[in-house]
Amino acid sequence: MAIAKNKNGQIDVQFHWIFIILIGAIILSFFVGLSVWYKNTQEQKNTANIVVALDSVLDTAKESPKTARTTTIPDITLSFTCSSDECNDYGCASAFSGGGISHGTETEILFSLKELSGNDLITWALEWKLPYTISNFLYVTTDNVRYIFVYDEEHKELAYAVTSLLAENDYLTKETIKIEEPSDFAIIDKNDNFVRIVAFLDSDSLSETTVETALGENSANNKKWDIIYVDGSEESGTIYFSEESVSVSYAGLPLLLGAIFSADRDFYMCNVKKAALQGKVVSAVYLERTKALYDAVSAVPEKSYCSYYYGQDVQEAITTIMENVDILLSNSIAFSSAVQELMDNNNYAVIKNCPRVY
Amino acid sequence: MQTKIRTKKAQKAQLKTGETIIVLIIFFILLAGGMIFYAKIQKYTTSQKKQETAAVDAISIEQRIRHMTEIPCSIDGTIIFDCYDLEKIKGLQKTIPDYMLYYNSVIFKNSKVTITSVYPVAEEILLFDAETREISTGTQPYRTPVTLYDPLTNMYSFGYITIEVFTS
Repeated sequence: MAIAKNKNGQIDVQFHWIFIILIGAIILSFFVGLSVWYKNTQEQKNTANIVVALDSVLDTAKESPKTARTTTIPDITLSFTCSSDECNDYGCASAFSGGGISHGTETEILFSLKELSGNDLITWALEWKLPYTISNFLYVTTDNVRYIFVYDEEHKELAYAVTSLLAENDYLTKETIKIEEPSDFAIIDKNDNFVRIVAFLDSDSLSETTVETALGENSANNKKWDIIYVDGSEESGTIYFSEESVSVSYAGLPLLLGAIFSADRDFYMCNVKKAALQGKVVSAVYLERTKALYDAVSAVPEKSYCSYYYGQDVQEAITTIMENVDILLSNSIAFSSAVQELMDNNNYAVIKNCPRVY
Repeated sequence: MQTKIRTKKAQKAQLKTGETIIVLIIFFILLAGGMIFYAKIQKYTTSQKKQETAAVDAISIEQRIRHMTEIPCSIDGTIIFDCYDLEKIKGLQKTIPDYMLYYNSVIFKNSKVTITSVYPVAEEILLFDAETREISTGTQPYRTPVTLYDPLTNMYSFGYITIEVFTS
């Protein structure tokens, strides 16, 4: 009987230790799990803070037209999306994201590549006017993206206009090359993340083999370079995205620059649609204002002569812009005459000491 | 005698296991208490943050209004900051119903925006009202001074924009 009792005591001690180890493991795993959860939460919080801070940077940049800014960004890849097929009454489905956190940009007109990474984020804005300011276009890139502008004698005017405008942005990594023949074009690999070749030349005139030899082959996951061809004038023209073999139109240098900074045709058209929606809204306000000015000055005999500058022609010009801004790329001639009508009446209104049209 | 001692030892061993269990129970009670306390603190912090967020929202709305291209004063298309054209404001008032989804979702959101001219002309214009007061409580109004321009009289006046953000 004594031996049995001794055996009981030994088993009890072992069980005691096993019990302690088990409970200790449970407590330890609880705290380890808690710390891992906290770490992940903090990482997400930091990423969200980065995205919020970037949103603020982009907002500030947008409101300072013709001012190039550079912002040091942490080591994350920023993704930008914009779908021209998903637009509604006030915007298009678009966002930018970093580290899994995204921020919507449905109404912001932002031209960029689909993925950006680098030390410095470069932002630049230009006003878009018709002729009153509709919106500020924001162009976003990084110091790791190189822009090469190639032109020949035939296309030099437009090339000069674009490169002169871009000269205001010192932060951009850019080169300008004049060639006599497309076969003269040569390029050196400078280990950039991406190279965009903007050719003010005839479509598909540059040898892609030359570019491929220098910069490497493009793959589905790793696009290193592309070429876009530009033809036209400062007022209007076409841009040909050689990789997609599609052309789009532009009306004015801000839109042309938008195409130069855009990832592809879809990205560009998405932002054009956003700009058009904004154009409708702003034009509607100006139309109401013009009607109110017309009614107000018509009622005052001393100022009734001013009513000419807010009359039917001007109101129709604003209505033309409002109703056709979404097809402005295909109807730039009607636009030009409406814009000219507004500019002329505005100038005459100023001379006659009447309230400005815009 | 020996039997007595052995019985006593066996009883002692059982007591020790019991102690461990009680310690663990107390530990988990303390842990649960700590988590409940943390949850209560978080609840209070969250309600504080809600109020702060409403104030930040008001500032965001003011920033969006400041950067709108529809209503600022302009000279031949060049925008003048911190100045608003009264006729454009009135034009925007008439335009908002046609683009309610845009202005409600993007610019003004859940708020009431009033533009008040103080000197030399006193006038108040209700630019936007989310009209959700029945289900939410208004926060402290946020005001910012602005210059207002009347193109008909070619006169500038002092005024302010009042933004009230509604929270539920």
